[in-house]
Parts: sequence; structure tokens; C-alpha cells
Amino acid sequence: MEWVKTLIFGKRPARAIIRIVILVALVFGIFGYGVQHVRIAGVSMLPTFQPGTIRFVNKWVYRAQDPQRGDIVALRFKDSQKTLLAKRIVGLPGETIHIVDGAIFANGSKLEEPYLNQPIADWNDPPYELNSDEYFVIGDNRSMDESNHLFGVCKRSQILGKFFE
Amino acid sequence: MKIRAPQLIWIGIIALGAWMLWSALAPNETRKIRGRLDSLASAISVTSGQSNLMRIAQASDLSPFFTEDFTVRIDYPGGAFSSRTRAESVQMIKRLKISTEVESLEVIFEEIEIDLAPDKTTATARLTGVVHLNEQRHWLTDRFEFQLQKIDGAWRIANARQIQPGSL
Repeated sequence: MEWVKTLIFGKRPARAIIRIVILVALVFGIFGYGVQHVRIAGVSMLPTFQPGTIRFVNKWVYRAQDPQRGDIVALRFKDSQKTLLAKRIVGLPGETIHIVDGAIFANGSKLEEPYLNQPIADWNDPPYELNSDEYFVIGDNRSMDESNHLFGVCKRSQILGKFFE
Repeated sequence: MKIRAPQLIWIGIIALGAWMLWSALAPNETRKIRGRLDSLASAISVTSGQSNLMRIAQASDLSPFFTEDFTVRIDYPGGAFSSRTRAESVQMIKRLKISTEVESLEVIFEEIEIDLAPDKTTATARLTGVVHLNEQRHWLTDRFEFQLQKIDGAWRIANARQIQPGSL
């Protein structure tokens, strides 16, 4: 059984145990507090995120800065603790957002959205003025039916982090 | 009497087996509700290639899941499912299940949180409901709240509603 011990702990067991403890602490630290993996389930973020793929969310990034326009964020769905939505931020606090024929206008100016490379359906949404803790989020797939696509206003507290792209 | 390590392991294994057997034979109310909701999801679902006869047979087993005065209001893409009685709800589900437009319908209840009232005769279940319709994955995904009542020893749903409909 000596060879098993050597295989697992090496020739210096004390050092091996320290390495294992550090490694375990790092893994738990990173995946517990800093990074979360998410399996993309729906089609609302096509073509940027393909359904079935695994993506990682940076949960630290918004401790130092506020979410920016264009960020793809993971947000908690309503009162849920586990179900997350992947959406892109298009409206910032204080702005007035409205949608005309699938194009988004922030304070009356049409947004440049180079990430949209599919035909856009004629979605329309009346103007909405965002409060100081609200963001307007939407998926990249605007070729689908508007009624099948979850988008709209979310609170800052719902945003878990930013997806690594 | 000295108890040795192997004996301790055996005692642990026997205790674990007894606990698992007890849990299976006499599940607590929360587990019963979870089981009930899983059964409801299966009863509403339609698998691809399932005959109409089978679909109707499944739908006729739906009544015991609901109280007589069951009320429901669920908005879905392009419409709403609304009813104020069990009979009407079951009829609506039956019509949906045998509709020629429904080739397959998969209903999944995830992330179920259950609050049991102290008297253990009423409960509230909050959950994420996911519906895959035909080829369309995630045709409907939303958070729901179900009010349940224990009647004649069985848990029945008295009310089903979406949590903050239309919001994220």
C-alpha cells in the first residue's frame, strides 16, 4: 500500500496536503464567490450565445463599477435564487427607452447594435423612463416573436454579474 | 462492551437504511407535495407520438389534482389560460392535449420551494415552470405560486398564478 500513498501524496505528504488545501480553497473561493457557470437554455441570446453551451459569469465585476450599456449580464429571474436570465443591457438608469420596429431608442437616439446580425422583427414598446436603480435588458435574438421573448426592466439588485465573452 | 470500528460502520449503514426506508414509506408533507406536483407535470405533458386515446385517458385523471373551486390565470405567448372552476380547467387542459397543433408538450416544475402552514393542511409552493411546446424549447418559462389544500389526505391545488406577470 506504500505505492498508493506515494501516488496520492508524493514523497513529501505534508507539502502535498498543503497544496491540496490551497487548491480546494481556490476552487471554492473562485466558484463560490467570483465565477458562476451557467448553461444557456433558450434561444433569446442567439446568435451570441448558443443554447446548450456553458458560459461563465464574473460576479466580482460590478463591485467596482456599475453595469454598462452593451454588457451581457446574468440576472435573477423574479424571486428565484437559481433560475438566471442572460440578457444584454441596453438602457441605463434615468434614461427613457422605447422600441420602434425592433430598434431601440435611448433618450430619443437610436442605439448602434453591431451584435445584431439577424433580421429584426417589428417589435414595438412604449417609452419607459428608468428609475435610478433600473436597467433595460433584452436578448440579441430579435428575429423571434416578441411575445416569446422575455425583456424589459430589471432592478440593479437582480443583476448577478457579467458574462465573460 | 467495547464497540469496534467495523461494528460502528455496520450500525451506521443499518441506521441509514432504516431512515431511507422510513422516508420512502412515510414521506413528510413537503415530499408529498413535490411528488404531487411532479405527477401533475407528467399528467399535463404530451409525448411525441402519443395517441389521442392515451392523451384523453391521462387528462381524465387530472381532477384529483385540484380543488372544486380551483382558480387559475396564466399568461402565455399570444394568450392567457384562465378559469374559475376545476371542471372548466380540466376541460381546457383536455382540449389542449388533444389539439392537433400539439405534437408534444413537456411541462417541468423546477426549483420548488414549499411553505407549509403550521396546521399542515395548507401550503404555498413557489416554483419555476418550464414548458417546451413541439419543437419550441422554453416556449414558456415563468415563476409560479400554487396555493394547496390537504383534503381527504391528498394535496390539491386551489389556486395557480404567475408571480409578477410580464416582468423579469
